[in-house]
Amino acid sequence: MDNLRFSTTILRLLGEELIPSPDQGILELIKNAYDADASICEVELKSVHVRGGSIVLRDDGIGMGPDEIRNGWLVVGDSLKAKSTNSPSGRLLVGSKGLGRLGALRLGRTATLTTRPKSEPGVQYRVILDWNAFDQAGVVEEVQLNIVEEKAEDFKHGTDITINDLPTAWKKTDIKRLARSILLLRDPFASDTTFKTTLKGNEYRDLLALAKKDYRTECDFHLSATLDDEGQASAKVLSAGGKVLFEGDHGKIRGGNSDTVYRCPPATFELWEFLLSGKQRPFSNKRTNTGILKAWLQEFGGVRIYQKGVRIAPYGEAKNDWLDMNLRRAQNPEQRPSTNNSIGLVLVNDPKSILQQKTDRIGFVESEAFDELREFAKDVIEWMARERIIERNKRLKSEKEKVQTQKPEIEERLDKAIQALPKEQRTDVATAVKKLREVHKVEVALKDEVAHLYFTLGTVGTTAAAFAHQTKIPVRGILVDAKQLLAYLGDPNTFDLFRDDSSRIAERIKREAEAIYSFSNVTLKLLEHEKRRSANYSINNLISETIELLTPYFEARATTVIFIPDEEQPKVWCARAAFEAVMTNLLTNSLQAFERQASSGAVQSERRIHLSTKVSGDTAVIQLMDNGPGITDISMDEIWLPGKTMTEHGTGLGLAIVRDVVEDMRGWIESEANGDLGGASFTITLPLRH
Amino acid sequence: MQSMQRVAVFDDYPIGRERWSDRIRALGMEPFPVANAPALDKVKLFLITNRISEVVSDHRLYERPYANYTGAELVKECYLAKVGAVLLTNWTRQDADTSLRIHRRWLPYVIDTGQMNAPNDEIRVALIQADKEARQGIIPEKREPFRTIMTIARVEVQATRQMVRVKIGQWNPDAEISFPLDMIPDHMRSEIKPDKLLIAQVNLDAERVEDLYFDKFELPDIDALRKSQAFFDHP
Repeated sequence: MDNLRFSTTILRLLGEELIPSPDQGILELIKNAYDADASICEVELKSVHVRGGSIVLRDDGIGMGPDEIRNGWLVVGDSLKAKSTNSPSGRLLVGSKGLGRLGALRLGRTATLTTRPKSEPGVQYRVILDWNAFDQAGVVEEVQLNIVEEKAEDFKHGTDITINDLPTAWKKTDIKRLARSILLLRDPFASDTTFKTTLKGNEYRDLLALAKKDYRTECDFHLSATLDDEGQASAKVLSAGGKVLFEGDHGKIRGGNSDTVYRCPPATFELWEFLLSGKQRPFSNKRTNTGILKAWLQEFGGVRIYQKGVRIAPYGEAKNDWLDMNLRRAQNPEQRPSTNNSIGLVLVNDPKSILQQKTDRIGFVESEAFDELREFAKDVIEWMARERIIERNKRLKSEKEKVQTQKPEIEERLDKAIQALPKEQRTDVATAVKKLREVHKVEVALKDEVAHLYFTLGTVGTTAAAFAHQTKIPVRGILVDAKQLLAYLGDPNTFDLFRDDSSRIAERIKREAEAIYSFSNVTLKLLEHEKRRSANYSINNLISETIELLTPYFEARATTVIFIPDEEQPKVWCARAAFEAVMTNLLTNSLQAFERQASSGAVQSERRIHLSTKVSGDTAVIQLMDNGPGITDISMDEIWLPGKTMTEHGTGLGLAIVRDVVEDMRGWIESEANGDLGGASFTITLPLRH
Repeated sequence: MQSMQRVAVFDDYPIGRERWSDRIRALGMEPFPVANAPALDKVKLFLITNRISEVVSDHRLYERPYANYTGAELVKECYLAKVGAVLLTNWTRQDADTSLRIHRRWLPYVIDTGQMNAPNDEIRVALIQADKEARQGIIPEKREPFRTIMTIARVEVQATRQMVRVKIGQWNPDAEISFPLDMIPDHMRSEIKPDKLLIAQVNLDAERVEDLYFDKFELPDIDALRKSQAFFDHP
């Protein structure tokens, strides 16, 4: 009977080409030690910086008898372990097909296995793999291997593997990579002492020392998330001191889509984020210098995955941003972690090995389960960013209010202190304080003016973007007409034929140019310098002026605007530009909502916007509502966040500007998804200035 | 006597209707400016009762209260009714991946108004081609569909839409092409993830990315994929 036989070349293909780097192979040997219930696995590199060096691995595991060597260790592409899921002591097995082992053993010209089974004290078995013999043979089966029984030199059970005569010298970077891989194979910060790995040498010692300096307690945010066995996620974010800042359930993490579970094995995700810039955290209570933290993060930063307690490369390597953290931070930098300022762990127990590693041991097979695990981690990061932005906005608002309340009290105390001074000093101090107040007032006014300029520029930008087509359409029209006119003029014979057409074209160009002129005036008027000075203004007048300014847009979109002013003529302290920014943004939103409604196929009635003002106690209340589709597909909290928009080509800045300006005017704004007219409704309350 | 070809002109901008009507008239055809657009499900009836032989339409018909559909949707309706229709747009760049891509399969000729040099001539060519494809079923090379495999690069949210970005090796392996996720049938959407494969009918001879269309999506045969995966895992 004949057998299918394998050329010895296959060993090279499987061992060398499927395992891309030496450290991956050695990690597989360490995993074998773990599976053999070892409590320690020591790796020693001997003269590897020159050709001919060797690698020695020693463990104190249960060792192997001749049958286990023959039917397990010497079998490539399968493993006895594949038939069971636990080691004798109950550890979940982490090694697999034996290809990694082959790759590691082939690193040298020979490899020697010496193993002392726990079940046979005083006995050891030795096998030598001479790769030269394989290279000279035609097929694998031609090379005979002998399992030699010997008297053990000591009674300690375990396995030693020596890979001899390395054909190439290792560079310092190779050694450092191996040291890092060994250190990170298990969670380096975990207190678990049931399995230890060490690499003899300075590189490992230095790294270990760095890992021992566990700076995680100095993080600014600690995200802790869990995915249970029903696929339901929950998470919390803790502050530096361990206080719970936010808590989120499955619905919040899924962004409202609470019906969909994550279809992957249960997992936990921990992320420690450090704010490294002085601006982000001016009053940091970190004990460690930022430079040291950065160096530590450079070594250990990124989000790694541990399956059954053992690391799966390459997740979390320097260039492996598997959660797109850097991409998302680049798109929207606010309140988000990156791989450079955070360290994270995803721990998956996965006893059934639903997540399968690729054959080359570099990452998981891109299965649905892995996609869902990644989705869970990404969603949790996104949820944390949303919560932090909302919290940041609340904090800014409360700080502003606090300053506004404290200021009069402090001024009163200062005046009393001046009055209490001896007469001869009082006048000098009062004059100096008066001068200081004047200078401060000018300084504040200048800052206000700059702020209003930016609000105005923001509004001009959003308005220009929203109404770009109002000018683009006639400009394009003029272009088409002009080109046709030129085509007629280029051929005098046909020109006479199209004389009437040409006259109509010229007349149309004139009409469209006039329309463009009226639209261009809107943005120019918004930018008038005078409008950035603060004064007492009648809000009825300001609203009427804004409506008048935007009339060309309302007419072009057949939108009726009805304004019902309060007869009392309420006045507020503001810059006209700032108030116009608020009204322009809100009115623009209504017009865009009408378009959105029509483009979605909904049948529209006449487009209407209602505006009103009303005096209520010491405040003026402005209400704006429309009969558009209302606020849809976005939560009411999120409408104020920069970048969040309901409009396909929107900037998401309009309502962020509105909220900031209203708060700057010491007022507040509330919104309703569907007001009395059916569409969105906004109510602004501002303090009256008599 | 053969009656003059009647071309319906759809545009929510009245001056626009006037402009395109002039171009149609200059080509010796009868313009039929549509001031009150019919509902989308009444378009076919509208074409028949008004004896319309061809259509030109602006794309964004909703900026003014005019129609609750886009020009692309209208052109698709005309195509299905075997009436050639030409789409005019000022917004090729902005709408290419979204409202144009969704219906691109049924848009025989899209004119970017900013790129027109001799409007009369270009509209004539466009009307002839649209008529050939929609009425006579003659599809030019650039629009011929091929069953094509592509790799999903990513799925991302752009403003309000979920967009799929794919790479098509047979068209340009370096380019990422975007289209809305909702073009893909509901039951397939959970499989749309980075690095996965997807199959669709694509006009691979299109020169410009905005002219590419996607139709008849399929997921690759899972068994065949597993077999190839198994081959690599257990060679």
